[in-house]
Amino acid sequence: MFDITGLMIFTVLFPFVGALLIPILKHFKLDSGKVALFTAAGTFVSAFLLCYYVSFGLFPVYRIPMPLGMDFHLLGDAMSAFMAAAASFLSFIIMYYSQGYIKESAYKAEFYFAAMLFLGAMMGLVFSANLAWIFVFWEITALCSWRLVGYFRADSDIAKANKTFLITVFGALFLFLALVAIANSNGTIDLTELRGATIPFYATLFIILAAFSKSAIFPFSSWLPDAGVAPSPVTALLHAAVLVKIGVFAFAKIFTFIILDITAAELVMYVAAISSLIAGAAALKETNIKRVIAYSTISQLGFIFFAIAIGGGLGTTAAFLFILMHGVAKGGLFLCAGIIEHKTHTKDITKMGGLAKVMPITALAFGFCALSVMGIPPFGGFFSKFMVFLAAAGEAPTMAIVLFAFAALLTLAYLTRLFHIVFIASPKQNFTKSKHEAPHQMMISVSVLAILSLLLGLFVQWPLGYLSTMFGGAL
Amino acid sequence: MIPFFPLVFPLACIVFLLAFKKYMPNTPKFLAFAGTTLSLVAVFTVQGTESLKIFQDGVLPTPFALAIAVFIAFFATLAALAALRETKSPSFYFNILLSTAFALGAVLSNNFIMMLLFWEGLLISLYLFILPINAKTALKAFLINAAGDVVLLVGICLFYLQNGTLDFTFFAKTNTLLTSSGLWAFILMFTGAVAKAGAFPFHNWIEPAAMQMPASFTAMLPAAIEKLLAVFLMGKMFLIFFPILPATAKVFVCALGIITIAVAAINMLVFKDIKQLLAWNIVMQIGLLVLGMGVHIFDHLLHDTLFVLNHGIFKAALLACAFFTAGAFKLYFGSTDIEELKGTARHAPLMTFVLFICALGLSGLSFVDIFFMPSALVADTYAAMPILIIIPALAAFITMFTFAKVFFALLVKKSRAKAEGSHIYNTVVFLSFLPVLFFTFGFEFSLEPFLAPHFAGINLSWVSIFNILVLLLALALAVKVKLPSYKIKHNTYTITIEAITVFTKWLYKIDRFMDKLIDTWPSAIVKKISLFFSRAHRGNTPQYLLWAILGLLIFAALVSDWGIK
Repeated sequence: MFDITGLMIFTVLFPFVGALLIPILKHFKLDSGKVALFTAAGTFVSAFLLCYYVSFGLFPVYRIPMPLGMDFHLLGDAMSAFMAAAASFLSFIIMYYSQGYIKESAYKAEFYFAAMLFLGAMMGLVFSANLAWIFVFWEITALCSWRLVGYFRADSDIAKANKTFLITVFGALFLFLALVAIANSNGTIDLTELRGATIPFYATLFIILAAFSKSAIFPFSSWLPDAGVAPSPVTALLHAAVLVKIGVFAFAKIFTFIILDITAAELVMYVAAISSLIAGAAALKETNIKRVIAYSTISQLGFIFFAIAIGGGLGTTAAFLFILMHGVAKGGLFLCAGIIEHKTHTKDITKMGGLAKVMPITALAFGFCALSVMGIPPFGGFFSKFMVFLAAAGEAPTMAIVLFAFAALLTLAYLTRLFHIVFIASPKQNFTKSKHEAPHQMMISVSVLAILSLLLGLFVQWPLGYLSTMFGGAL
Repeated sequence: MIPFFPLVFPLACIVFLLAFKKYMPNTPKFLAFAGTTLSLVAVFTVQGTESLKIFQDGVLPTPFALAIAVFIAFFATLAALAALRETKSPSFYFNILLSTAFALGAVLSNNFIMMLLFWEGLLISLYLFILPINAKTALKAFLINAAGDVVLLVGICLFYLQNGTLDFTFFAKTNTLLTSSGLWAFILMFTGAVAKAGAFPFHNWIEPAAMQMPASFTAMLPAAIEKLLAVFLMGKMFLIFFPILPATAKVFVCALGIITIAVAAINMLVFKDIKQLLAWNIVMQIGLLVLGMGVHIFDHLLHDTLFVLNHGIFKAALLACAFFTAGAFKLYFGSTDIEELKGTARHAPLMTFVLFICALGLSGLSFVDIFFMPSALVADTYAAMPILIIIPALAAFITMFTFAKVFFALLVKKSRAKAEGSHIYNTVVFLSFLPVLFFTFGFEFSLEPFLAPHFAGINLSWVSIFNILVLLLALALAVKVKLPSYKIKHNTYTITIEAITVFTKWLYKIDRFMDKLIDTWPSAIVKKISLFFSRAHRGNTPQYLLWAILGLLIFAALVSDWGIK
């Protein structure tokens, strides 16, 4: 019989092995980018296979006993397998994009090392069923993001990287406090042993604060737009596809096992709504393309928290569908922003305009991804947004629904504004049309994500069917 | 045939258009016409529900949905034909096909998710339609329609909570009590439906789009298809909410209708251009439709269904016909500006006549309005609240008054060279006039048995006389009274944008403040503290001695009588 447990361990370990091989193989003149790409591809294939096997009800478990109840416990449930597949797929696409973006750089090996280490930590985090190991992997991702955001060595870049690190580590401190509180009150920090348990309210609050800081929810959101100083693949990897999803994922995973207090759930809904509104408003005011997209991420993360806080089969299905659709589309937007910056040598949208004629493929890809984030059918984002509102209609307070409806309107407004200023408005400079808009790896990557944003909508029954079967959120 | 069969043709033509537009310059024109015509033919092959009850729902499209689909395909075909003379742009033809596919998909769907998918898809085609002509208007149209669609989406989600299904098949079987969320579902869905047709406050994009775009666009989308879609959704809503709607809903619907009419009336009075007048008339007609729904909403299912059908199809036909005629004026005389069209009636008698009939129909003159529904509207508003009769009367008055101004301008004696004619445009005007004739004199009698029970209680003769008097008064006043000359500086769109700007500015300030609170200020404080301590640890002996003495004093104070006991 196929060793599904081995597959799960492989999914977690392979990126770590890849990361360690990068500096070693560099001495043998082997391109770090190729090693990273191969590692990301392998991780995605194994995560996808795992996702497939999990759909048959096969849930792999692996445990190494450790002192103080800190067993290294991996559990391949549906939520973990789905998240691993989605995150590793996006990482693979972003690594492919990086082959064109980061060609010649003194820090190339460091970039790929940190990216693969980050992917490994992400895989470890999603499969961990022990809070101590979730904390360990959480901190590894913080360290990696610190290096990745500070990739360019200017003082301002380092300051932003420090900010990212400090705020997310500040959140991790709360996770640590929650861990201690749960160990103290419930006698265990193993999630499988906490199934159906209740935890003290302050422990719930600590977890919420940790998740908010990692997923850039107001008031801990300001690090995310600032981290836009990083190279575009980093911003896509960390801020659209993977890093910011850690907070929501951990929150969802923990409260799948532990019962979420209703007051805390309502608190999450309202804070997420306010965060979405503030970020949407900021996205309308900003003129830096990466900051606009980063604020958009904060706004959309509010929707995911909202769906998770609603809970139940429908809420969880909506949240994970949203994670997938948003990851694909937002990844595409960040990568398109990289191409635009590459072409125009500026991030200031007021200096752009008329780029649809100069770079039509990028414009089309950007348009597709933006439509998906806006929630316009038949793009994937429509179904996820629809599912969130559907789940909310039965369970959430009316005021929260109204606030999120406004946030959805703001999403429409800032993304159409962005598209118009960058691609349609009169050009502020003379941008010359060249045969190639960007290196082919970059163009293929954004095209894949844009087409996928559409295909995931047209064939939504597959991810939706999988998720609703797994979480019981069938319509 | 399967319900979505008619979509195959426009979609296939889109694929061909994209593939061959480079090689054959006339291909887009041909494909747009072929795609829309074939979809019209295909609608007749779709198997509908066998029941004769037009409001019976089921897995297959109802006769009601099929009737709407037929007219959508018909108006799209006419638009494709009219566009042959108006534009060569392949993207225009691409968008005709795309809009046709989306609109047909919306009415042939058998559940709300599918319907929403196509319904919101029209946003994209609308945006792409206007974008090459005016990007600002395209953005405006997109945002306004998108806002309406978000409202609809939330309404449908609340509806799901009420009924537990989004499938049309089960509506007839559900009989749940209307909770507060159910009432909200109705209000939001209704607003979403009429937003598509351009009811207040979702109307601001229609006028600039009508002024800037070719007439075939306006005749097809805002005047006909979007109106028909609104009617389709309202028809669905009858089925859902018919037995359970409270009076509050009635008040909401009436208020929405009255405001829409008022806004349209204010804007119609300062028109300078036929297209502008017609654009505001679209808004006026949707206002009348909404008011009609409000005053006799859900009194009688058949009556309500026929009312929306009449208003949707007949008024859409009238408006589309009027827009095609305006397009013909533009093509013949190079303008639709009233000043520039003075004295053109004798060169274009057919067009003037068609416009005159359209004006009579839009004004609600009895015998030129199918099913006597505008007359019934007058009677019903009077029955609901006598004072309300002012509203339809005012709408009729202003429509006739403004159109009379157009005719006086066209009929004035002024030497003017005859412009070039166009065979295709004559055909379009004639073809678009057909449904007007059909509804006015044909369809009416075939449906008389359905109508007889409802009209048995209504004395239409006084209404007809009242209507004629109002129209005659408008005509008489139009001879002497000049159009007012006020300027409308603000509209709901600009006000909303200004409000959003202020709102976002404050929210952005909160974001920046939090950034200072979390990053800037703590960083500054930490920097100051570390600077202080670094200065305090410079390695000179007197300084360390001072610290040691200070520490000793604090320690002494803590362990003495003042401190720790």
